[in-house]
Amino acid sequence: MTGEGYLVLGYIVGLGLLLGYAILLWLAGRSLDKREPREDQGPTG
Amino acid sequence: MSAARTILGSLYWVLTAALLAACLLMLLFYTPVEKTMGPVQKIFYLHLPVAINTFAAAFVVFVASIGYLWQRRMWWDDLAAAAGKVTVLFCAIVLLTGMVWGRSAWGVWWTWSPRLTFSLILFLLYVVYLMIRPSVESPQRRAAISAVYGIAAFIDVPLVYLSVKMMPDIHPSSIALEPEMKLTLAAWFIPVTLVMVGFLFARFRLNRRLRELGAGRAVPEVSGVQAIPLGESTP
Repeated sequence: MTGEGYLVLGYIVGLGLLLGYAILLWLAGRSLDKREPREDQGPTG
Repeated sequence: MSAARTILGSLYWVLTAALLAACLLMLLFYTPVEKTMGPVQKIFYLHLPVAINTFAAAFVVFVASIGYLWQRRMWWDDLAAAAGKVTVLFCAIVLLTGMVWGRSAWGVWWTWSPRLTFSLILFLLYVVYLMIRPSVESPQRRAAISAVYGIAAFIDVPLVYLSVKMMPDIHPSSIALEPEMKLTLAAWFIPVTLVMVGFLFARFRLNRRLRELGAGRAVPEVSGVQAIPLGESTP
């Protein structure tokens, strides 16, 4: 692999992990929103 | 209030993503290629800011652990747990980007040099920190044990930082940078730090909400009111 190849691999790994964790956090937040009615939504059902 | 917070949060992440994109463009079209190592040296602009933010996240674990032992308020533990996760994530990125850089520059994916070894130990220490937590059932006991461990684990951070100066090895202790390179490095610190702070805050909020869901809506550490588990009715 060339130097450019390792450079691209490094950034894909680094930024990919950051993006992956951001998605996991977002999904976890959404899942909690569904479990718990938010303060501004008032009582449901 | 909550809608305003959502908008502010979205703006924060849009700004961070825009800055990351700008830094990537800067890396491609503005930053010169280093003569000795070639293009792969540009991994440095991600590697170093992530490494410094790993230390910062580990420091938050350290401070929050002291805070918990001092005040016994559960939100300190929520913060320490959030920072522990961010430390593991960022340390993994430091190790992986370093391995890719090392494979190109030194011809090997890994070598047991002092800095690399202390960095791996740092990663494993905080992985163990995250593994200890779910193994203790009582929240107060879990927080206390994690706090003591979180303080002790921080000892490795200065060792990682000082290892190159104390024990010179294959890992460069400094790289001569041209002014354009210095500017690129400074620019990369901004979005990487914003990502670290954003993750820390988002994970902290999640931890706090999860704790409230598990123990009822009361906030015992502030008001001293007994927590009421969800689903149980008061007499």
